[in-house]
Amino acid sequence: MIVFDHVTKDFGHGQPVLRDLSFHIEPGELSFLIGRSGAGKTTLLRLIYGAERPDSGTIRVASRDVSRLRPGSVPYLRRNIGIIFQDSKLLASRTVAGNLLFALQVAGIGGRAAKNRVDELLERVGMAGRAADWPAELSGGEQQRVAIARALANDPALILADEATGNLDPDVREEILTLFDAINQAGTTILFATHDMDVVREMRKRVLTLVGGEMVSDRPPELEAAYR
Amino acid sequence: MPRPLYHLAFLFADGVRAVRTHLALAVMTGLTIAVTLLLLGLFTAVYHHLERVAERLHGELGMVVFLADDCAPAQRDALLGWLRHRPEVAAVTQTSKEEAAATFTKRHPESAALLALLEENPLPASLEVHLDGALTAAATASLAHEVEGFAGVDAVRYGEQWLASLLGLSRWLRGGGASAGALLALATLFIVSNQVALSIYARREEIDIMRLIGATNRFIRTPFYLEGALTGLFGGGVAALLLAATHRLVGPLLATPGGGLLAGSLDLVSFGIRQVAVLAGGGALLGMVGCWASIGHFMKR
Repeated sequence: MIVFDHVTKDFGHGQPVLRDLSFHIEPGELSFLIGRSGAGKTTLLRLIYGAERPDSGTIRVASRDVSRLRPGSVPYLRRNIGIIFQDSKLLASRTVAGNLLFALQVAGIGGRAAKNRVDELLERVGMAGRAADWPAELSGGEQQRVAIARALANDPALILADEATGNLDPDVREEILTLFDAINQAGTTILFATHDMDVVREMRKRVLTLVGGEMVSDRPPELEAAYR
Repeated sequence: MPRPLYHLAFLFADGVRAVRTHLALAVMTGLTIAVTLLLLGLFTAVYHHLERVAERLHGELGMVVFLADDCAPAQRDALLGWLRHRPEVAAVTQTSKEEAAATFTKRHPESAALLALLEENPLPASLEVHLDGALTAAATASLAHEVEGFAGVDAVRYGEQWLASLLGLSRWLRGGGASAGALLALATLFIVSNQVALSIYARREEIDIMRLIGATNRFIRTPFYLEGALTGLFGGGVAALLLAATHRLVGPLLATPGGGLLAGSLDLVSFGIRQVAVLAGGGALLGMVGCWASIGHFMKR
């Protein structure tokens, strides 16, 4: 699903942010990308969804070379990738349903089909019956559930989560991780960037570790379990 | 409803929502557009009106060809024949030196004695040329120039100085109106682009999210263009209303005998659906161009 081949990204502020990264993630995997703040996790995710271009190396997402993608093709790449952030990034001026409809409309889905899809998505993330609520009326965990529903709107093959549980209490975090696990069980590839080792320990999945822009370890789930 | 229509309806609703969110700003921008279009409209109306007045008056003034004292009858007849065959000449009336003196005496009896004191009648024979009313000032000048080339012609008068002043004024109005209009249009574009810039700034988070979920630049831009167009449409509508009111108020005044220089002249430029459509379309265009200037800059970031 994701292939990094000797990828380097340098913003010209001294050391490269990412140095000669090579790894691949198979379809259907749920992997964690860990590292301290500034390790390059967010830059790595931005390279995957086309917000940045590598200075060298190749990145392939679903067999598509995204490292040399034309700017006009980036939106179409992103429609196949769900992106979830720490702060949920819901539009305060739209209801829960409005936020989801907005994402569906961007992908060209409207009318009755979109409304049905909204109901289906809210059901899937455990937010059925909350369509008319405003983001401000939701708890942090609920907002993140809606953000996950929005990321799933186009039924993407890949979900990128950037510190998606960073603002949540442990109980809520566990609920959200369970939700991610269920989404992964349904076949969606997930790359989850976090600096929270508790998240990694709870899930027992493959862990890619970034330190200073370099991949210092890539432990498969069974080995990760042994590390506990 | 077909999918493209849903899409369009969604984008239109988004544009309307943007206008409602920044209603005060949108109204101010719309009014600025209205003032610009109103002034342009007034300049255009007055310019066209003066042109029409000039056309009508020069037709009424006609042309007088003064013949030289040594003009032979054959020369006069040649000129008469030539004039009568010109399509722009409606009629030609001859006035001999004697008839000119009689007319002078009749009009100015107090000066008749002076005329009698002179050994020779100083007043020239002339041909009064009645022109086709539809003839332009430029065509009249051209005809006069041709007549001046005939042997036996001393001078040609067709109210050129008066007409030149009037046409000069209308040309000045056209130039001044175009310059003022261009400046106002530039200022309006600046204001509209700033309105859209503020709107973009207020919605930057929304735009970032749109980009993240795969919105194309066209999808992001369209509501802003609609916002600009709706604001401009409002401005154009206000300008149309004000011009229609002006037309209704000033038109009858010009048509009355007390209307001064332009009294009894033609009505102001007719104001109908076409003018409303031009103003509304012009407003929408101004709004969209202002939006383009702003969003083009934003999208380059």
